[in-house]
Amino acid sequence: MKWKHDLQIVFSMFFKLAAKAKRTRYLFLFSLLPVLTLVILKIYEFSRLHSQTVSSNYFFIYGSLTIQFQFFVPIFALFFGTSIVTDEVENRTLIFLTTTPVSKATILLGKFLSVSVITAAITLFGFLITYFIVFFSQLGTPQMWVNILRYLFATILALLAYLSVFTLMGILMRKPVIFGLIFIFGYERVVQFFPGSTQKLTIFHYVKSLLPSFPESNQMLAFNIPPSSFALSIATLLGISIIALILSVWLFRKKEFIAATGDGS
Amino acid sequence: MNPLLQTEKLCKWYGNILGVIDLDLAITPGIKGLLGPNGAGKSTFLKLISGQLKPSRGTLRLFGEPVFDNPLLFKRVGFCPEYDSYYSEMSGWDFILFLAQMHGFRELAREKAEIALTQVGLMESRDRLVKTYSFGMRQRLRIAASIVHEPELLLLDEPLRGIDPLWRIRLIRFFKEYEKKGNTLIVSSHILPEIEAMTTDIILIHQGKIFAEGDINYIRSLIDAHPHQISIRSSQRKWLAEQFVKEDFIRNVHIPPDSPVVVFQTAKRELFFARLMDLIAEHDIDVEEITSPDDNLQAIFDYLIGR
Repeated sequence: MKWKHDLQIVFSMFFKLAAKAKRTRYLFLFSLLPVLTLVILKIYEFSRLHSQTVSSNYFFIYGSLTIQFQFFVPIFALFFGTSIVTDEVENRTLIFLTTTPVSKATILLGKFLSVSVITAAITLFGFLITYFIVFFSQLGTPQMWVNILRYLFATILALLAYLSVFTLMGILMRKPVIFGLIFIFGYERVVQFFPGSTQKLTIFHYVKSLLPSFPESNQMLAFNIPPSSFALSIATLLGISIIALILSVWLFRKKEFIAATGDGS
Repeated sequence: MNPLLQTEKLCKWYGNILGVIDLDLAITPGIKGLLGPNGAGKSTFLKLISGQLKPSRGTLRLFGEPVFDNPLLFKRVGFCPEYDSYYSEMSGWDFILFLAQMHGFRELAREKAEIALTQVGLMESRDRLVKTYSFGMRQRLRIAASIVHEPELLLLDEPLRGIDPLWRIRLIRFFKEYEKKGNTLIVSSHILPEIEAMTTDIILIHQGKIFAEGDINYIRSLIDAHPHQISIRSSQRKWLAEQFVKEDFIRNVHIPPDSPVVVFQTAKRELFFARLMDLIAEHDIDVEEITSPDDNLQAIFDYLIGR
């Protein structure tokens, strides 16, 4: 199975590179900010230095969940997804990959997989620590484990969908990060507050639909319309990922990539 | 002999800018020098052959097959790009080993990587990160990357750029030996002596078109008729001017005011330099600098196209 061998080679090489990259280190440290905040809150709770302190439970529902699904997942996916092709083009290293007998589809998918694993690892690490700190006393309850599985599942599917879309943007556009930010903080946010069922046209709607129930008072994660069913949400997120990846592969094969500082000689 | 590479009316343009125009070429085994000044279209041509660009018009066939989006061809083709690109966080060894594996080698990958790095003299520095290499070392690493799978066709875009003189000589020797094994090399450069050291079979490209093709001696004969300018910086420039003005191979002598140089124009460079060496040796002339302002391909092209 040549493609399997090729995919493995591309995956392992770019996994190592992505793990060592400065971008990964900075985003990883950034992802630990909620953990740090929670640790400070916990110290307050235990020491009872402050009578009106925000409880860690409250922090998880109103802070961690919002940060995780509205900020970390799309932002990390944006930085990693757009980098899959743009890094190669801007650093002019794409030529080393495309002048080998490995198909462009394998190159793209191998890189996509490596980046997906890295993004999932840094996105989930801090979140899981936060979750276990907050719900440490409930470790024995089955609901706690069901919830964590749903959070994990929602994070992974959300990452896949966002990463695929941003990979496509990275191939299509010269400045994908700018358009990606407009997509995340413009389109995805604004449409949530539109009347009617327009919010079903966002990725975020289906991600929210996968999450365990939480208080309506969390405006950032609240629904203006009833959530979509679990099955429909999974199918939609997977569908978006597959379609975006197919389009990415097709474009990656057909497009000419000339570095921005290229030479016309 | 069947051509490895054949183009018919090959054109490439970027928007309104023409890269190459109506290239009709048939390249047979051997070393082919691709010569032209900067911006002539050499790199565009190599990018077309290496599948980075799609032809805008015309056909391009390598080993009888179209090139763009045809990765299997690269089992037989190696490409060394001109630009200084690399994965900064990788060691030279990891980079070449990775490429050997990408070319389908499994058990043999390490051996292939070792051979390629040895050929360019980087085995001792193999474990260093590529970002710590000098420019010349990175250029040699790119050559290693292009030969790791021992391709039948090797495309080299300005391969000797930034390489020290000793390694230039070694690499030129290596390229010649590589050709003797039955392989084909297409080497692009804007430096005539660099190409002359490797082959006599050249293609001159200018403004995206093939300007001349064939034996380098023919090009040399055209160039030899080119009236070269030679500038000499010397405190005895007036005396030198007097000595040369009598010679029939001198077309013009000029001493610019307020300048320590004398400028000669001659169509016979060899005779001029032979006479100059004699004068320096016999009269112990103090010569600070000798330059030939138009001794470059652009000047030669300008002359040949009658500007």
